[in-house]
Amino acid sequence: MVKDEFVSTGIEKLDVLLEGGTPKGYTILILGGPGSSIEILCKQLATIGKVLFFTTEETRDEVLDTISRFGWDKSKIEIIDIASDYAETILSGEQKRVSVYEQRSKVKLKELIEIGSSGMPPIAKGDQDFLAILSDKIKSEKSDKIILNSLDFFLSQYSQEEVIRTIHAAKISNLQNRGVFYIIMTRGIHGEVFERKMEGIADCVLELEVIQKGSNFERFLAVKKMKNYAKKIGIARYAIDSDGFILEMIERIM
Amino acid sequence: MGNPFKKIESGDKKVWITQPKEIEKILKRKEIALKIAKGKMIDNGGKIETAMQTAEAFGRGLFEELLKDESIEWTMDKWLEPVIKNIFNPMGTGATFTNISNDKAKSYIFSYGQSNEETDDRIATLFNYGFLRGIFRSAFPNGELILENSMVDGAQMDEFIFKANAVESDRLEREKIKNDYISKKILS
Repeated sequence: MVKDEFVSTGIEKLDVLLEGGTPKGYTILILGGPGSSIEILCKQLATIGKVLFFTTEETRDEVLDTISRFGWDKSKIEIIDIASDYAETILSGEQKRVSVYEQRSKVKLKELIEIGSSGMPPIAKGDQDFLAILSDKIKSEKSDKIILNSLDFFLSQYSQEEVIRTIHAAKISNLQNRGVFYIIMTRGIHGEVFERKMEGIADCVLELEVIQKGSNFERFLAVKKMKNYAKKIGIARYAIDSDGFILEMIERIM
Repeated sequence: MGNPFKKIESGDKKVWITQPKEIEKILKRKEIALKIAKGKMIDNGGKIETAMQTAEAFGRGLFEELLKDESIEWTMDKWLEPVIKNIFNPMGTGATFTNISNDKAKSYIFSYGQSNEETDDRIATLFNYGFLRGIFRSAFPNGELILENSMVDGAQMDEFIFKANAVESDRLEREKIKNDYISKKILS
């Protein structure tokens, strides 16, 4: 049973682990690595409520194909297909991206929070500033959930400082809109300092871990941080079947 | 503390040679990042773009952690010195840098230390290009990294040109490397 102040994750046992879903207005960092099926988790999260889904690695069609394959509801998902836009951008040359990069560095965080991408200096037609698209969409669209899959893309294109500023701004917009903002990020690439900064910004941190024991792999989902709800800290073993994530065992840490 | 590199000067010509001294922690980070790049690429249906982005993000992270200095206005030699000291040497990278000017340098990399063991050479080349590009473009957003010759294609050394101000024809180098990976992977 999901209470009014919480949003269901779309995975029943995960809602149980979180004792009622995720609190509205929260920013949730989901960390994982190859083999963790994090890409399936983020799509399953998108099957409940009105969802704004940013996809940076898969195209819109690939995302929808996977959702269809599992038989999940895709009627309330708006997909922002950055993967396709980026592919078009790089094919048209990287010159334009450079000019956007230079202009971004002049925008202050406060301006970014207050006016979204409209605070950006004017840019030539056809330019794509993916961080601006992200902050603008999150500010202007009221959704139950925002899913960003993944932050890794932005960290390959922009400085960490620039990404952090935008995530801060997006977090505040989400708090005002009372949605739940899920950020997917790969553990082990961006450096411990950056990972700690992101964990500090997030209200909740979930981590997917894959542990090899002999010839078997065991997978765990851990709730490592939950601001104001210490009781929700816990861990569950999980598997993937034709229905998606199946949480098999629940342990409370606190 | 001496120079992190050996300097050879002959007339107008100066050559800097790295002094590799592997530091396990940094070397390990690169090995893990390479494994993750490969793993993510497999998870994502074999998309080379995923591996390239992972490598570039890793390079940008290294820059932020080991090189970033707000007070520096980057020039090629101001960038090269800490890169050699904090990244190339600890990773065990054997390289020489030559033709160093304010906005350009050429490097010959003849060894990547232990980090490329037990892996497909071609993906390691793509990863090395990506992470170097990430480090480089963090300091020079107008720049581009050009791979002139590669050891996996039979060259003695990997030859890179670091250009702080890329020209139009350099812009699609990254795509060229990716396409090269795909076509040669299919043929091999």
